[in-house]
Amino acid sequence: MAEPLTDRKAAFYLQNRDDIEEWAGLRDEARVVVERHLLTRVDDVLTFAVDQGAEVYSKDLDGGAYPRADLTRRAWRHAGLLDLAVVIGWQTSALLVPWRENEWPYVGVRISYKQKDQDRRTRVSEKLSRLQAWGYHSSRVSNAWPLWASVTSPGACGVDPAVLADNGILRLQQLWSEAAPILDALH
Amino acid sequence: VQQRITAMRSDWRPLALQAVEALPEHWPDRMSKLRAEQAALVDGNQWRSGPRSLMESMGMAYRETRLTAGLAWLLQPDGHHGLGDALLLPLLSAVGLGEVDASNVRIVTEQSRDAGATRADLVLYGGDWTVCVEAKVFAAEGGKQLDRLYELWADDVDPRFVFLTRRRYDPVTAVDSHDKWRSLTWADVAKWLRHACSTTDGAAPGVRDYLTTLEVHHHG
Repeated sequence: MAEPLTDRKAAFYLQNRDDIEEWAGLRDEARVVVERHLLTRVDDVLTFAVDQGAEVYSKDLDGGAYPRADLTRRAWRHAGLLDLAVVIGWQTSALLVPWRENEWPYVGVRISYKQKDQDRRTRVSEKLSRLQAWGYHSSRVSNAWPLWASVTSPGACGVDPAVLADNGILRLQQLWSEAAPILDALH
Repeated sequence: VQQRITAMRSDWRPLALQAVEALPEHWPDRMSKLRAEQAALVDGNQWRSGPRSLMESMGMAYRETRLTAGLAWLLQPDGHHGLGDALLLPLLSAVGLGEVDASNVRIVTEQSRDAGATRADLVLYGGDWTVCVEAKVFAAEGGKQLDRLYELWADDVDPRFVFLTRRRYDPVTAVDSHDKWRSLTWADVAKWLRHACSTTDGAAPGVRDYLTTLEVHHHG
């Protein structure tokens, strides 16, 4: 005899599965909208860079896996490599996916993978460590990020992509104002 | 064995009852509301999926060279887009060439000078006037980029220089040539294009697609 469906949550899912899965699939539609808002605010990064006398480099903004905008200075070099930047970025495929590390956009200080001088990496991490009190931490998944924080949406009523993008720019500007003097002092 | 099964049933019953109680009360009501909301969107023809334009679906919505190529196509006054000079004229007017002869225009994309060291994204040659366009989507200006462009096209016939970006701002690399550049935005192009579409019959489908791409992705 078949087991009666006493697990109401499972029964609820099974009875409404078509709707639930269709709605869950809307995540991909929403991800595109969130990304569009983030891209719109990249213009603010350019403006902010001009104000701050910083250089801007972008990567993957026109369709890559890890779009990002880097704020940097020409002086932030070590061993001939421009290796440091204050960054806003996101992982396109992970946006809004609750079980992914990069569910949200992020800001951070990035050190290039090409920088092989471990002493340099250690010094940068040590100097930036005091900013961890501001809610940043080193990345759990990559050694390219001595300082990293996700940018979340504060609303209790769902995700407002415009607010999320605003928060991203605000966090980037805050991080720049804190981290740039520390990185300047290293050079 | 029967006794063990009976004992197991006895043990599992409280757990099963807990499971019965585990469904949050608001779920069925929430589900009904979501269904009603979805039905209203379907009825209103607003339950749409996927990219908003063909350009977006092909990954071109943010590609600087593709957008510029599309603009070049739309500016050609005898082009197959069917708009005539309806987009070209407002552009010329914006750079102070409102009264010129725009009937015979040669349009070149990615034109290099200085032995290939400097490249203009788009240049319009009108016989007795020239418009040099530096178009940007996300990329920052290269070192001395706009001063170099100005220097290389300054000796052309009545040259005008356009810095075309997503958001209006003065170019930082136009130092010696800072008063020569006119800042325009992709939103300006979209505005002119929308007007051109509304006043011209027979615009090619690609015109609408390009317009949608600009309005959705580059509204400034």
